[in-house]
Amino acid sequence: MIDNLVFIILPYAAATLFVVVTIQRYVRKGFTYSSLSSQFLETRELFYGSVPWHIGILGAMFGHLIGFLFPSQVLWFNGVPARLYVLESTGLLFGLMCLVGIVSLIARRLTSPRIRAVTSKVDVLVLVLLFVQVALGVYVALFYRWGSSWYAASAVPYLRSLFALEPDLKMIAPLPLAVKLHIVNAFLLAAIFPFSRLVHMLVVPIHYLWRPYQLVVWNWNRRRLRGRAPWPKTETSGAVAPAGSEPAPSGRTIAAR
Amino acid sequence: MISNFSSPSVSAGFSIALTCLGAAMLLLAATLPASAQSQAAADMFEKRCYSCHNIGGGDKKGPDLKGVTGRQRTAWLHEFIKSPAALNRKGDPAAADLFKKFAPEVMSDQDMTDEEITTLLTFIEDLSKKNEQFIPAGAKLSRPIAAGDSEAGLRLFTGKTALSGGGASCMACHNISGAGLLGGGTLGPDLTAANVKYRDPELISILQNPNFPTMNSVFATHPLNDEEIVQLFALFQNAKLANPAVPAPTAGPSIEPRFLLIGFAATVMAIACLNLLWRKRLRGVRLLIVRRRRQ
Repeated sequence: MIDNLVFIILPYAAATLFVVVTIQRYVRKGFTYSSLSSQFLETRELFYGSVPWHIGILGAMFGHLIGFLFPSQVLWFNGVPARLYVLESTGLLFGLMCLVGIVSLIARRLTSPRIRAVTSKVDVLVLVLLFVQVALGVYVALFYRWGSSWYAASAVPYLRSLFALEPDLKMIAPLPLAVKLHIVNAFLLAAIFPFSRLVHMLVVPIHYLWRPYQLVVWNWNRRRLRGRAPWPKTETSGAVAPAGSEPAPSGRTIAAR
Repeated sequence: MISNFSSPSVSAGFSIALTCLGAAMLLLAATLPASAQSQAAADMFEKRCYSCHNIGGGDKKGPDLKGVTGRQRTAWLHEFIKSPAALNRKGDPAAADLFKKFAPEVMSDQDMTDEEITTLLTFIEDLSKKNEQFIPAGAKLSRPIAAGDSEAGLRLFTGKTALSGGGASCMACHNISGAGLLGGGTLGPDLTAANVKYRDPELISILQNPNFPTMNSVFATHPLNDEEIVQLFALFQNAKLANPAVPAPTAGPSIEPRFLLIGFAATVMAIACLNLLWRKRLRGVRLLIVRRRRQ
């Protein structure tokens, strides 16, 4: 009964929310599609949390995707123990990178008052679910070896049966509790995805990689102006300077990405 | 069948002869069932129950079923076989006792009709009354073990030789001594001492019909062939002999320290590399600006 609830009803409910609310939010509130960067408030700890986290999660999710799409090829690859060990160690590396990253990010959010001020309830939920997911994944990788092989043989048929709209729980019913919790938690993450900062993964600005250089034109000679405002002081300080006022543009151009 | 043959185009004599033959066959069928049904029941028991249960041979993963029909009511047995976990959840004391005694094993729900269960229970009752032990008829190797079988078995175990049915190699979930530097999987039990735990027919029967909850769903559609069974059986016979010092497998999952160490070292190195790669990140430009402002 509980199995039906969490392995049949939950995934379809989560998938429905994922698709419907994700689209609705994009159409209605497209400008909220962001992870609401807090880099401006704190950057150093963010870097040491965010970079390992993102490298780890991209690697780990890619691994799960490959297993899902090409299970028999993964089994073939794992046929040589040395190759199995390399694959498993790489997977564990990504998992541990995630763990280092998420723990740093949680610590940052707890300790930095500026970050706490901009933290919403959903942000907390996301961090907790991601931490649980990664911790379970690493636990399963370490204790129930070798996941890359039995995932392909045992969990993938279940996941595929969900996509085929003929859910078949036979394969996962006997799996250990930690594995089942890992699966259920993934469904929960999919369910809260459209309500959370996780939507940023749909609008990752990867076009930055191939867009042309942007020209940044500095309209005044900063060196000459050091210590002074670039525009004449007026009563309403901070007002935009009239066009053509001092100082003359220096024409310095910096190419930047 | 008989009515088909007794069409008007067939001569009357022939028709009568056929009718008599048909009647005789029906009579034979009526007298046969005892042995034929018991054969079918024995087959069913071997395929679906014998991996975990004996009749008269002692407990395995599950209890010895000798005399089980005397210990429990028929209705209870039907309900338990169909869904042991459901009965346990209901708080049935007998089910709870079994779950406790055989933990962490949990018998999976059996997709069987009431008729099948009745046939099975009748078979168990008969055997128990006769005080006989269940001996699987089909649990025989297709040929005697020859030199080189154990090595071939290890190649099958690790996956160097793919299984003909397309199933995952044993190493995905099981360990055996000699399976590689970091060992085999730990989702399932260590099989180094499999031949100590199981008698030969039991082991062969498991290879033929691995009816454990985790395995039956995977191998029902990817069975081993006769040759693979011989070679894996040879491997299991040799594993304990070759490594008598290997301790009996412990229950529950365990960690492989070398695997953890590799993962840990790789993570530390990766983070160190990232630091090296980005050590000037966000430092150069901004620090320069701040310094300039202060001058």
